Amino acid sequence: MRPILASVAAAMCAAVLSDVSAGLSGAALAAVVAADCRPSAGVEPAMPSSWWEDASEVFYIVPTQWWEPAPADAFNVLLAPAALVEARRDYVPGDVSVASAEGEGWAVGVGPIGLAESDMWNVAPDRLGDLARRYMYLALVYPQSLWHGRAVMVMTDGGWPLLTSYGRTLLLGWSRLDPIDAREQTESAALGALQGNYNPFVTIPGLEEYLWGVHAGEPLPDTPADPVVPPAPAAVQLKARYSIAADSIIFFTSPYVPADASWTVDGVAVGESATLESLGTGSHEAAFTSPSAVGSMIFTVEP
Amino acid sequence: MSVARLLLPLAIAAVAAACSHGSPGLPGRPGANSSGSEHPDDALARELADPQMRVVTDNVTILYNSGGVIMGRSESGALFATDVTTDCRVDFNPAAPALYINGLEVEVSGVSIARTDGDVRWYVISTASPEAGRVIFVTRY
Repeated sequence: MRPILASVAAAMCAAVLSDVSAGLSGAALAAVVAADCRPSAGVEPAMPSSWWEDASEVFYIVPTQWWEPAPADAFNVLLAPAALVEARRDYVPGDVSVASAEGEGWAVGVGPIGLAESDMWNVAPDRLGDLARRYMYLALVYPQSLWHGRAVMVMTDGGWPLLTSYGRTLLLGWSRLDPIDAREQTESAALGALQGNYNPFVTIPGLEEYLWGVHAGEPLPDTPADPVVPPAPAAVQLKARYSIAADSIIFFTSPYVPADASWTVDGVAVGESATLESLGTGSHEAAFTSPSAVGSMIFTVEP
Repeated sequence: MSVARLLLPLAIAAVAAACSHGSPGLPGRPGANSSGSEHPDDALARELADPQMRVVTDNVTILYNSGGVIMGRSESGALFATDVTTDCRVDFNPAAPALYINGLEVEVSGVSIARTDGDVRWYVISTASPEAGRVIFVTRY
């Protein structure tokens, strides 16, 4: 990272980054961005977190078991509920389909990875993007020649492309579902100020799309301030049958259901939408609750 | 008699095919009322043996397990069943009692809870409309 004041690093980084990375793509883009945003000395301040109300224990987003030695980085550590710290172990991020432990804004359980199933964890829908952008930052800045344990489900050994197919699909999906907002920008800037760097996935909206997503292989525009995030998919009303290949996402919205309804699928709480991959193929029951009505519907997910 | 009720037979006939589309019913299901040679008591007994959430009339069949059918209960206690594919909707308020099929009121002459099993209730709704006939509304809500 260039020797600039930490307090202004976050504000300046977009301009700095555009100077060095415009026109690059793929591995070259990743290498330049990583070199530019890597902290010269990481810190581990267990920042009070707005993610959870009852946060009290130090929590590492990328588990310490995944790398040896685990680097110190403010973007990897925050305070979390003790129950989450205990239950998460070294599990991968993912769309939990059957929860074994859960609290306000988090769940640990099992869910699909391709055709298999794995222990995994996730957070509330309005934090999925925050979490995804932290994972992507850590994968980008700290490539490992040999990831340990369950990390190999998400990270690739030896650097580029940094993330496995599962990791790319999951984290890109979460980032699209929960775009950067002012709260995340504020939190990210505060962390960056502590260790004099920034998370490029927060300061350059849509960077991940140029690395792994819909713009993969295309050079990063020299005007990164322009919106590059692909438009959010239009909400499609609930229907009887879905195809993972054709639909990708299910939106829990219907003219027959109150707009303020909260939803579960097969008994597990979901947000306003969910990836069909996370639900898996087969028949599922979506149930809703609102102050004015309760109800449910069966739908089918096909490959 | 209201205009809506005058038009009801035509309305029910018009939506019948659409409402049954994608919800073909169980094999051998002739409808809520006996048809052919089946005795009415046999038809009702068969309905009471099936705990699947559904709404069945002679002309309208909405089967929850077929998928794409939202069934539930409003705050007021009114029950509803909507096929999101065909937009066919049946609303039934046991307390009133009041029955609407696709927004058109069907005159109710009698309601009974023919069976309960856990949360599941089998409502048998008698209507004054020969087109709607007897309506079976099975719900766990």
